[in-house]
Amino acid sequence: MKESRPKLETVDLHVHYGGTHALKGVSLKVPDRSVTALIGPSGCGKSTFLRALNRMHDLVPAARVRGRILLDGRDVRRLAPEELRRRVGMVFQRPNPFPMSIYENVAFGPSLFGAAGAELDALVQQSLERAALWEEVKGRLHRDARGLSGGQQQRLCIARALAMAPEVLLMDEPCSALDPGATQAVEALVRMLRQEMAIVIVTHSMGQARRVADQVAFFQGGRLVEVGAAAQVLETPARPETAAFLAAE
Amino acid sequence: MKPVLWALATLTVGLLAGLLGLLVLRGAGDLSWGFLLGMPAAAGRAGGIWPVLVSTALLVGGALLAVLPLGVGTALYLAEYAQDGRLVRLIRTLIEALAGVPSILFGLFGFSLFVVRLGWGWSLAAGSLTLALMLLPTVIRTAEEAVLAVPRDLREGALALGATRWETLRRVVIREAAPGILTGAVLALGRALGETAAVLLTAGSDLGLPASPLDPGRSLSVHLYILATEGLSEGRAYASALALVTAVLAVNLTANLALERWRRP
Repeated sequence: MKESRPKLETVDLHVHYGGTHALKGVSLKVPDRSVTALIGPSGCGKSTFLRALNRMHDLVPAARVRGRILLDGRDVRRLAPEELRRRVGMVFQRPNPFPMSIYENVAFGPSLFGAAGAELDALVQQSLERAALWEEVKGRLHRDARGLSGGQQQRLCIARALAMAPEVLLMDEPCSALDPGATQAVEALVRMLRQEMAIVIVTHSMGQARRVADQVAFFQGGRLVEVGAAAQVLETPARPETAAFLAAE
Repeated sequence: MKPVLWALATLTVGLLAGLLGLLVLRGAGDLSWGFLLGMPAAAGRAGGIWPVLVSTALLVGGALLAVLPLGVGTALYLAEYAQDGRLVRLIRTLIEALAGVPSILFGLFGFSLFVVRLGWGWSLAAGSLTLALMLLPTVIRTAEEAVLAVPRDLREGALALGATRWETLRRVVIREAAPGILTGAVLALGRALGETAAVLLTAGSDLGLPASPLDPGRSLSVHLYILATEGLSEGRAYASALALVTAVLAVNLTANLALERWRRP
């Protein structure tokens, strides 16, 4: 198989939080149209890594990021953060719908960049369809989004991210606040979206990693211990730390 | 201990009920549409309080119009942009200090600045701006708390979609903080309705119907004060008091209802 250029790549990435060295030199390649799962014990740096990818650390004055992040081979620091975040979407651990209607939530991103009218209506419908939420909400688009169930809210947040047509989707434990049924719906969505974009998902569930991931990266103590094809890392880990972690799970 | 606390709570409720009961008992007889919508006669001994209601509405409305943009703007700056430096701590301390200044001092300040120095004379405008200054700390504090209480999740959600900081603030943070900001505005409104000394010093006590913001006017509280202290008409004083209390309660109830509907999607 030909080695194609990674969609997203980090080179020797470090993150410092005040006096804490939270991420210690992580180099990772994220291929396009695939799912990369980040696993590891809590506090291992996997969420810190994820949040570095769309420069969310810029917002925390105490955080410092060193090293390079390349999107399509170009350093993301050459992009405005707003431009980067438009191309690299993010879904958070807890559903965070804005205090506005379902429609306005999905339209939020595109309207920042000038979408309006019938074009926007179509984009909202299409995004909700892709997030497998349209059928459930089409009759109440103008109701407050906070009236939806937790699982619906999370799919709404995915629809909101999809409305920006992102090239990469970052997901930070997107199912940790959801019940099994809603988790299944989100995982099905991830498997479908991987045909169109690169997905990086932080998960604490080995089952979830097994079900959705193509590539698995194991983090511990702020370091990337091991990365490889999902089946290989999860079934026959190369490193003893990975094996110990998987055995404990 | 429980019976004692129960007794204290009952006493509080009883005092409130007694106060309202007294107002109704003494005031309801004189309260009528004719009284509310009529022109006063014989310095308030007879006739109605229509000009007083108009002056009160203009005075308080003007105060809110001035204090809300100023206060909410300051709160947004303090909560969102200001770095925690010496200057910001100084500003916060000054705001706290401002909240503890007796209202009569605001009245004297407003009198010497607006009424005398700027030559506006006793006027609704001078009264409104004086009230605005007096209410500023309340509005800033409640609005800042409301903005700081907006969950980080929501800000990050907007930023992650490519919104700038200002877009996030304008479209998400303010919306989420709106009920809290409104609570502060209602608190301010209640205090503005009840303020007497500062208003008497700056807006005067003219009983005419004001035609412009530079006309003087008499607010309900001032009217009540004058009726009571000059012994003009006890019945009218109680009726005015009843109107004032009803207005305050109505404002609070409406705001609470609005907040309830806002918070529960």
